[in-house]
Amino acid sequence: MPQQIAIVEDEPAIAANYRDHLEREGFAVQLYADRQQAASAFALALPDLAIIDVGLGDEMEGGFELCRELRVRSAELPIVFLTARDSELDIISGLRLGADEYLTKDISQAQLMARIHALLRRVRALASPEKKDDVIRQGKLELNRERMTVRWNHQPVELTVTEFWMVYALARHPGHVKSRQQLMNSADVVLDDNTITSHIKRIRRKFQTVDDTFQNIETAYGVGYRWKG
Amino acid sequence: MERLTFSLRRQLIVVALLLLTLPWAGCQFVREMEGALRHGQAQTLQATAQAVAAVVGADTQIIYPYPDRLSAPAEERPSVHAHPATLPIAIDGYAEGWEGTPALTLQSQNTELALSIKALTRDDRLLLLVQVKDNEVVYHNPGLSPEPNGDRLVIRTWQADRRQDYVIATAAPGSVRARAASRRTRGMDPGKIRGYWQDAVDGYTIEVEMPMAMTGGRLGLYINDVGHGEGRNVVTLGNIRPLRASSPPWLIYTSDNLQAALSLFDKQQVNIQVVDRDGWQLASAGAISHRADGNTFWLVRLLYRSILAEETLPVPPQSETPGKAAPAVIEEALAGTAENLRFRDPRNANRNLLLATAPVEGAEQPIGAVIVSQSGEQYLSLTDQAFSRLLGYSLLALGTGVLGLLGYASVLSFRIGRLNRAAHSVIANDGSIQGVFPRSRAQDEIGELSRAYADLLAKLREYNDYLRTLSRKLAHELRTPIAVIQSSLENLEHTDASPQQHQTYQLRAREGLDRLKAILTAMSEANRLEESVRSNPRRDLDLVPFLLEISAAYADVHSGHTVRFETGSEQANVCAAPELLAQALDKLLDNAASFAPLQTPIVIRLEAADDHWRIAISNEGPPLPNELRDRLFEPMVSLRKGDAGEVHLGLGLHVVRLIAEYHEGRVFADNVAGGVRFTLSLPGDGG
Repeated sequence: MPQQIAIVEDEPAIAANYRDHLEREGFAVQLYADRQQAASAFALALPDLAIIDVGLGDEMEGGFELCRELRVRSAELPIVFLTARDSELDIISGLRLGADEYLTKDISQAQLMARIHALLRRVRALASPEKKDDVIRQGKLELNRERMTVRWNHQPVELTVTEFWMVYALARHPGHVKSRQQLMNSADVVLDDNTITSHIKRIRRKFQTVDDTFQNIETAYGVGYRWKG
Repeated sequence: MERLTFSLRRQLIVVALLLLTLPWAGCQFVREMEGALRHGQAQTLQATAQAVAAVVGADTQIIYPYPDRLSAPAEERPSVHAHPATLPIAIDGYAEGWEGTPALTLQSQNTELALSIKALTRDDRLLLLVQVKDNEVVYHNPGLSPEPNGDRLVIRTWQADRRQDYVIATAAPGSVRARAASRRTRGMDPGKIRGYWQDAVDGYTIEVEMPMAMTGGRLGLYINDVGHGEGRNVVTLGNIRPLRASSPPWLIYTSDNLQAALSLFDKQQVNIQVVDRDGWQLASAGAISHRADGNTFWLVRLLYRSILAEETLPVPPQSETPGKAAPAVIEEALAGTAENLRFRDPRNANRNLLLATAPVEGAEQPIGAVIVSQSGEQYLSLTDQAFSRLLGYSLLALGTGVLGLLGYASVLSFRIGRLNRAAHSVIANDGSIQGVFPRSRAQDEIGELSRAYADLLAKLREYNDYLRTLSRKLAHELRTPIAVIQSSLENLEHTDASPQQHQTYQLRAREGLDRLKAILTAMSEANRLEESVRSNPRRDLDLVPFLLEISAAYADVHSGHTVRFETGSEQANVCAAPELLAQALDKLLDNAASFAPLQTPIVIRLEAADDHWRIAISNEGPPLPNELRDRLFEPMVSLRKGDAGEVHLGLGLHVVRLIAEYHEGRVFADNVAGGVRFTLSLPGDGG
């Protein structure tokens, strides 16, 4: 039983290309060109993972709407935004709506696959009992590589997969400065410097929601970031 | 700030310095006023002088009790000048009461002998004080001869064309009487001349009185100074010579009539002098009052005087002969012209005197002159007060003006500074515009500037936003075909793809590429349009034939729709660039054609609205979604479904808007029954 992936995308060429690629990877793919189609299909059955474009036809924010509906129905369903829009505002609203990942369309297929696999693995890991040896502790920080979950001070911190790998890369070697390039490599994404910076900001903010004294990610100006152990 | 900035406040302070002309003007005004007042006073004095002259000149005898004097030849010898006595004088041989009376002094040429004669009139009597400087007084010695043989005084009068000589001599100091020294004639009455002989420090003094009538208007005096020892040589000194039989010099005195006439003018604060033809001061009435108003603050007075310190006045000329008026003062009057003169008060350099002289007219020529003098204080005190008030007002005005200007400048500076700060706060360091620029509601130029700023910033912000969204939309727009190309290529790289799929992927990649090209073309078209809008001049254009032509041409091109042109106007003049207008209409018609179902009509309608012409293009078809209505004319907004192979970058309507704005018009869209209507509104004559 292959895993079901739904692609909601109004550009037929792109949708078809992703479908071909994912099918080669062994997934079953359904394409939906607009929100109504997708919504009516999801009403019947939820896929294992949804890849959604933000702008759907006439609806500039159709993807966000769809994401909200899906999140209401399922808390675990991995949702990936794959879009041509990459403004900070769009990213933040996408993630705030509960998307697990926000990717721009120029991401390579290999990277997209890595993300999809990671997300699905996390879903599986969350379903299975927690294994001790997957957990890395670093002061108040607990990282579970398998489940890709993070706890700070025993409280869960909701991170996207990209964010998780960044924190992982930083916290593995406290005090070592990680350059932006290294962070990108570890998270397996290609981003410009500004996007890295805003990722870091978002990570800090997420930690600060559980502990407002959190200051363990330090900026080494001009070089990168380091985890203060 | 290293350099001293010439701020608005400083500039206004400099401008405020112009207010300093106010006190200057005030001083000028005070001077003018002083001049006017002085002139007025001079007129008054002159009038007084004329009046006195008229009164005095009413009768010749007032000035000349003996009118013969008028026809007499000019007198070479010094005359005795008798002044009216103001106080009763005791005849006792002492000089009490004679102080200040001008004396006729005579000095012997080769001896120490000197003679001083003073004369006063009182009622109808003549008083004489003869002071003789004689280091050796020789008294009359009755033992030598009965005739006077010592030092003696001879008084010569003139009655009935005869001379009478009286001699006064004494054997010892004490009371004396005259004796006739010539042949007795009628009217000679030596007994009426009596007085006192007193020794003085370096000579002797004789004080006598005699009836005025005895003089006959003439009086001559001489003394005989007898020396001691052998020969007894006699030195004579006086205003007559002993042996001359001619008449003695005229006695100058003030007639009762003149006194009476002058007493009329006694109450004035002026000094009135009457002089006769020879300049003898016959009478003087009234005293010059220097009483100034004491209310003026001394500092103001000082300031005032220094402001008025004009040409330095001369001191009044003094005559060489005591009892005579200075010739310079009266020569004009004696020549028959009234005159005003000004002098500096010799007793106080800060005061001045005004004189008015007037001739006393006689039968043929002036027989004398009236001199009226008054202190300048009389009008100065007036202007003093005026000046102090003026000074106060000027200072007040100056202060108010300076403070007002300063306040005003501060307000202006503050407002401009606020504008500056607002502009700075709105424009961030990177040149982007954030926040709201406060629009001033003031109705002046700064308010206008603020509003212009606000408009400018709003436009700038709009343009910035446009640029920002443009780049964002462009990135978005470009990313899609790039994603298509990229994913197609990645799929191609996969080895297990079949040849058919290969073709599909290649085709997709090519489509993506075409889209990229189309996007670039549309972009450069928009850019070119923005440039060409600027380089296309507007000219007068009649829309009716223009639209007829366009609709006909369009009907040929788009056979799928019928294009109708309707108008109720014969002529519609606008100022437009026809090529651009055609381009805009072309975009609108294209739009209409692509949304309208086949075979439905597209209607172009021209109508007047106020002072605008409206070109409305309506078509049947789906209505415009509400949320997009306002954003329709922004770049990169498109309603069209992406048909394969057709790129709609959403720049078409943006181009229409650019063209409309270039024509100072606007374009708007609304839904009509069963369709959509786009209206292009252009300013014109409005039919």
